[in-house]
Amino acid sequence: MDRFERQLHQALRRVDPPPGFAEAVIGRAAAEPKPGRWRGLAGIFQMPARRWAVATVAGLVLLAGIGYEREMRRRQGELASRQVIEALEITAEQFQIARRHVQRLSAVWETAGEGSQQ
Amino acid sequence: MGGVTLTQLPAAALGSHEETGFADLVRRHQAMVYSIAYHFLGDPALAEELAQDVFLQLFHHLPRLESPRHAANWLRRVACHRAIDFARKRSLVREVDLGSVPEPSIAAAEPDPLLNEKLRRLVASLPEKQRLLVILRYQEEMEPREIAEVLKMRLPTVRTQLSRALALLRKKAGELFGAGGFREPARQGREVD
Repeated sequence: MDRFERQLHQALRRVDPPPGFAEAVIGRAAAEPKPGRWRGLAGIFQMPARRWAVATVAGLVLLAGIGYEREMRRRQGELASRQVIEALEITAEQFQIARRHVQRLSAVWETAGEGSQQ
Repeated sequence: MGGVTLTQLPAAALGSHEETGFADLVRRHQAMVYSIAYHFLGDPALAEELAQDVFLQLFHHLPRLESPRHAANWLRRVACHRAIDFARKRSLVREVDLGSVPEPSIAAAEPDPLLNEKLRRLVASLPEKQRLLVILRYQEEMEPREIAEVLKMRLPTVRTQLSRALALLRKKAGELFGAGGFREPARQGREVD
């Protein structure tokens, strides 16, 4: 340590706080809520770095939730459209059967009509 | 700790042992916390307010303190961070009016209060990080390694910043006190060990 540093050390020596400082602090602490588990948990949110971390995690959870909900809706939509297509296919098949049946009946009636005319 | 361990402190209320333990910590470290605040902010009233806040924060942090050494380092770290916050929130841009202080007597062998005041003002004119490092180095007599540990900085960064701060202080002191001031060519530009 050279002369300048020694002088710095001298200039920056500790100074006592004003009289009554400790008593004032202890008095304020006595009036504060008790330090406990929940206070400690709340303290997590009071620290800037942890506050950012908590906010980031909360944001990620929110985004994940939104993404999950969208995916579920997409799957439900796909399932519903598949069910509609399947229902339409079944309906079309039934319609074809009915059409064939009507055609057969028409042919029978036409044959029977021609026979009665003769 | 006067027979009361830190693990006994976090009880349900400030009662006999807990009050004794907390009060003991306050009395033991009040000068350290107050001085960090005072030398950083340069204002006794603000320093007192900041120091009180730091100790109240300590009170709520007691359940997580593991040892008296941990408590001292915790207090140093929180005092430093709170000092920076305080200065920023209150926009404490220190106007260093060196002309208002009478010229010091450099040759005086005895501690010179005016010279000390000028040096404190020079320190107060440093950028906040460098100011903190200088305070911890010369007020708290901490080694760069300890400072790095307390402030959670890299050791080379601490050394470099301290070295720059000292160089800046020497330069300003040279301008203020004249060529015969605090020159030390052999150490110019060297990092603080």
